[in-house]
Amino acid sequence: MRGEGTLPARAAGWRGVGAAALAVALLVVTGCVGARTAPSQSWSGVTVADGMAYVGTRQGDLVALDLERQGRIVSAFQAPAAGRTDAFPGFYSAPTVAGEVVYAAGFDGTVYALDAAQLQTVENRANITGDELSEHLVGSVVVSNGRLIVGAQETADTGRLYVFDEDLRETCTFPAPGAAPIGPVWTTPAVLNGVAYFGDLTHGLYAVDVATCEALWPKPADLGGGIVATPLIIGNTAYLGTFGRTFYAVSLETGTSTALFKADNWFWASAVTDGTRIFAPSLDGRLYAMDLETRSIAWIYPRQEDIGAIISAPVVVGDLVVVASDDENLVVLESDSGQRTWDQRVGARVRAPLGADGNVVFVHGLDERVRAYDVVERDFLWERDVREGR
Amino acid sequence: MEFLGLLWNEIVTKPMTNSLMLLYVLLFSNLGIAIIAFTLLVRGATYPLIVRQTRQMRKLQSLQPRMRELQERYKNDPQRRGQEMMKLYREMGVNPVGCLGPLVIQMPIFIGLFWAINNVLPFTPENLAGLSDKLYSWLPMLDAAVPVSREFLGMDLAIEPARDRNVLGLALVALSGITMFVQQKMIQVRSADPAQQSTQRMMTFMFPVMFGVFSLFFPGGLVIYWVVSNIVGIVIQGFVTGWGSLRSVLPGGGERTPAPATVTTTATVAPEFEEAFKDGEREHRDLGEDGGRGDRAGSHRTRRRPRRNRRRRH
Repeated sequence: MRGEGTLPARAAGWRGVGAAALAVALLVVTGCVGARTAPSQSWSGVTVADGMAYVGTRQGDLVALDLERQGRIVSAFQAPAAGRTDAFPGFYSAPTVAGEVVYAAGFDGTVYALDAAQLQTVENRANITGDELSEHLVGSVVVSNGRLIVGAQETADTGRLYVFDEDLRETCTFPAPGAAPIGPVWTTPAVLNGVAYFGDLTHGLYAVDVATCEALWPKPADLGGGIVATPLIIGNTAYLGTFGRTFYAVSLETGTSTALFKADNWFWASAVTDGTRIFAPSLDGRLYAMDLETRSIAWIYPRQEDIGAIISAPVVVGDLVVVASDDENLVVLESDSGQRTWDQRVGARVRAPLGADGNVVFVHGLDERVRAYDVVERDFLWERDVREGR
Repeated sequence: MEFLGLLWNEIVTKPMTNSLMLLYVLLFSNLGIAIIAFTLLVRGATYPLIVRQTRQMRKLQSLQPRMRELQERYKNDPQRRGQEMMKLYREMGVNPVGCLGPLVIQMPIFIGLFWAINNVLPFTPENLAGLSDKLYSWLPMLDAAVPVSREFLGMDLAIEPARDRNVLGLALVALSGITMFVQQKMIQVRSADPAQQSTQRMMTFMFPVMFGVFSLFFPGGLVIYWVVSNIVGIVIQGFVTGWGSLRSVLPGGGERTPAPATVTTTATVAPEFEEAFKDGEREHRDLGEDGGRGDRAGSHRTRRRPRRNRRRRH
């Protein structure tokens, strides 16, 4: 009798096995199993210094491109954990060049100090926060008066600002160990006169003395939404937008905030200025230009449609402002009128902040290629696959 | 394919993401509680469907004596036996793989919730940036709730228990397998056929083990959904069909074997289906020995019987 089975019974059995296989297939095909938490992309910005451009990759490489030789890769560094899917050594932050040293912050919580010429390790400090699972560095390292300042995500819901000396020895942190925690810090701090201004993902904007790691405001400015953008500091005011879809001005002295205007989606990227206007991109696919004197909207580009979410910070080149979007658009606008003078299809989604050197703008796409455009002459110059550095 | 992805996103993922976020805002900014509430709502919404499936299974169980009878009657003609049994299923409106129904119904919800949790918990910058696109602009309070707190009772809801190695996370993984096993046992229709019994036994163990192992690699938040969903399923099953079947999974309960063919039907028929079964029996008697399976079936059998007899004589 065993194994003989009736037709319906056999059919039911096989259908059962089929359903199980289907369930497994569905889970696998839809990506439900495995590699969920591995970053699928990263968007390190391009930093230009002394005729070289430095950029990090998703795989954990950092390369130096020679700008006089059409971006030829002259040196490359590979993070020890490069290629490991469980360690996430890629770079979301732009490298920072200070003299002969390039500093870079890896998503896996490692800060590197490399010599700028060969990209050989001078120092590195792995696992800076002590929580291997949740620690992440998204913002760039800032160098100021011999101090390195970097914001970190420490655990699932908390973060900290770290201050190191040039040998990557920790000098102090904010908040101090044991003090009330703050949210994850993904911003690159803006440092002015020894004070770091930075936001966390739980809506707070902080002013912290870099020497002592003491907060300067009685309480953080609550901006009603997560903060990733670096505050743009002009005079006594910090300007930035948040996930609450609102763009704010915050007094550096008191931490008092004023809502300036709203967008149709979050503000992610940092704003830039040409001295008379502030240019703030939003994930709603528009660039908002605000007159600094009147604090009113001067123009919005584009007015009707959108060019795709703008995660990439724009750059000002002379009297032009250049912006790139997640829909592969690169648009050059007159900064006073918002009139488009040139646009290009990049050929890849752009999320990394744009870099500039003179008239040339560097775009690092999600396809891991760096492209160079002369935005004044309206000319595409070259492109380079940064994975060639491996 | 892109269109299907868009459709899936608009119909399943986006509403689920926004609902989960809304529950998070309403329930003390605690994602663990929000997931539990979300699970209860989802199970509540699918309750009529689950009850229907459960009743179907119960009906299938009540057919066992008649199926045994058919097996006995057509033991030398497997093809005919199969046809008759399919016919019986059809007539009684029973789906023989009905026990998989609740699981199959849950799969799109489970996958949708996977993406909803994936969207809501920003593990990487691209996750977080992607969330902006999925939140309804007419619910501005959701923007202010971003990013959601990932911790629940010391467990990181965004990280897989295999990596997190939190005691609660690992306990939930074990619980997901155990509750699924219990639910499967309660759902299962006891078959008279040894081959089917063997398949059932395999499925009863395979699914819980499979999902238990998968749970290790799912975000903790999803494992909470799975455990709560299973517990709700057990409770629904208990209320619809009674708690008797739970005894088989308790220590000392043992697995009940199908009753022998001679046992009267009332021993295995649920009260609510007893009437339906009696109707069937009545029909069976009224329409003759072929069980009233229709003229065509009856005449077919009477045509074939002499032929079989002839073969035997040879």
